Amino acid sequence: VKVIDVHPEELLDRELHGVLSDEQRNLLDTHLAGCEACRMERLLRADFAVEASRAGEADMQSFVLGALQRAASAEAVSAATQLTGSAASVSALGSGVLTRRRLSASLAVACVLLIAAGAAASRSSWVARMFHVTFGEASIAASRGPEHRVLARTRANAPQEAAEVRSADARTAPRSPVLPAVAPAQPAPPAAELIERPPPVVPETLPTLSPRREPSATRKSTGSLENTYRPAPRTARIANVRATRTLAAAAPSTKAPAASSAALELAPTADPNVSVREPAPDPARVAQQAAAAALFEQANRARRAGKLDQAATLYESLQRDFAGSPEAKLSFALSARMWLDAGNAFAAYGAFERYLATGDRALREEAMTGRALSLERLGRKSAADAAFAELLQAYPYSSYAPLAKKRLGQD
Amino acid sequence: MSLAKAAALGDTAATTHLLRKLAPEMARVVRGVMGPYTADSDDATQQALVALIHALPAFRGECAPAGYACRIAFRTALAVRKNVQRRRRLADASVDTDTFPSGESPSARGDAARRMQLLRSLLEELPAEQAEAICLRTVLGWSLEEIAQASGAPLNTVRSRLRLAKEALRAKIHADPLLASELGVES
Repeated sequence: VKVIDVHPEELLDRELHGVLSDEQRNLLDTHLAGCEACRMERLLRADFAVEASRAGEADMQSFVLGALQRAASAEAVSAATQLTGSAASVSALGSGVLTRRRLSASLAVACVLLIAAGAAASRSSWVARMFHVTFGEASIAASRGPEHRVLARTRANAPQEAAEVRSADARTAPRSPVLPAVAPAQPAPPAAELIERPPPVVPETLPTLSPRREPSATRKSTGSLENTYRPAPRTARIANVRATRTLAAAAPSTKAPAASSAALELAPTADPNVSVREPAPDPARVAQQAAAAALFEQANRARRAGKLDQAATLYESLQRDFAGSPEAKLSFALSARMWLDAGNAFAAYGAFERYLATGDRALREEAMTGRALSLERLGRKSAADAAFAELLQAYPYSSYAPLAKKRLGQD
Repeated sequence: MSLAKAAALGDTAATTHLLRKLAPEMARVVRGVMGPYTADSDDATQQALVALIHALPAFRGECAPAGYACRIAFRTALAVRKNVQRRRRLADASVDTDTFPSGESPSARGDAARRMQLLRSLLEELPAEQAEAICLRTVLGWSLEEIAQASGAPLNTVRSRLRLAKEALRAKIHADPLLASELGVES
């Protein structure tokens, strides 16, 4: 058995979870240098993780409902086949042998049996019961039509369930950080360099993550942007989130009081000077939002204090327990930047990808830049160039545009 | 687990809830095998869910429900993929099933697409157990222990399956000059 035939699967797993020691890193690098299959496996894991994050918008609800319908239809067909068979055998028994009176009596008995068996089948079939529970009679009728029509109808009938499943879908997003490849021409830096050294010096500093500004022709690169996190006990993003929530809560109330409606009807809804009565917020929802904000704040404090492991754990809790919340979405970008500063480009790349997959736009520009830099540090030149090109296309006037142009040789 | 056991006993609400929980990961496996943009991958996802519904009464709780479901998803998707490939080969030998929509394939994504396509074609050629092991490892990023638990095989058996699958993968890499060059492999 050659050395490269014993694949260090455990080391690959440890690398994936970011818990590889220096010694283990050396062992893994030695193996990878000679094993293209393991290099390929790492690349594939990254590829599939990216693919999964891009395909995260799929409407799982329609799949689930469609599957339940098809299973129920199959049960129904099976039951009908059995019943047809028994009826046919009863008929065959009667043909030519029985007198007309006996034949009539037999047919009557067959009908009774048919009805009884049908009733029993519909009661005994748990799939059919599930079908009834899920869709009701209307959908059963619909299931007789073409499948796409049924799916469309169930989709239309179940918006609330679709929303539930979408949130469940978000919770089951790729659970592992993406593991991009180490380019063969550029060997992986030793673990000490990746993990234990202070934030690496890069030719151009990556500005502090901050909420996205609107692209503007007058916007210029500051050139002196700090390479550390700005203390932000209450980030502007959170302020935006809260403002959005307040506006969202206030919006319906503009319709309510008729007494003061004269001024309100003429005034724009979003005018901050207009005082509107807010409806009573849902206490459970408010408590959940407060808990998410508190956890986010706690994680940020840990990150600013340099307690990266603690911060990572808290961010993961936030992403797991408050999936879909604005804070959870932002936490992907913040943890990504944290890992990038710490020299862990593997984890950074995965987290940037996950942030971008959320569709959130507050830090999209920064995340696209961070993703490109992560790829660059991983030695994936072509992927990094594509990422910089994507950034330039999306934000041509970004403060990161000069950096992207320089990387692409366009300046 | 309790949800899965309830579903296995025919609890309708539990079954529906379980399906909702497992569907995203099953879809991920199916897309890993089929490719996310193939016309048949959505159908395969639904077929996998139907197969899970039918297999639920046989679930004995010896492994995690997600493992059970993902194995079903893998087997279903691979069968569908083989059928599709066969059908298309009959219709037109030049058709590539791993197609991406226009505008979705810059060079970096093209590299990834080629790698994933290579793995998908490898899955068709490998014995089912080896294909399942390498698929769960690469598509879902599962550890050896997780694969062993899901498949009910000893850890060393899973390790051996992966080793054999990687041998086949290595041969595939050497047979693809572009990929071999990208990975720095002397052909």
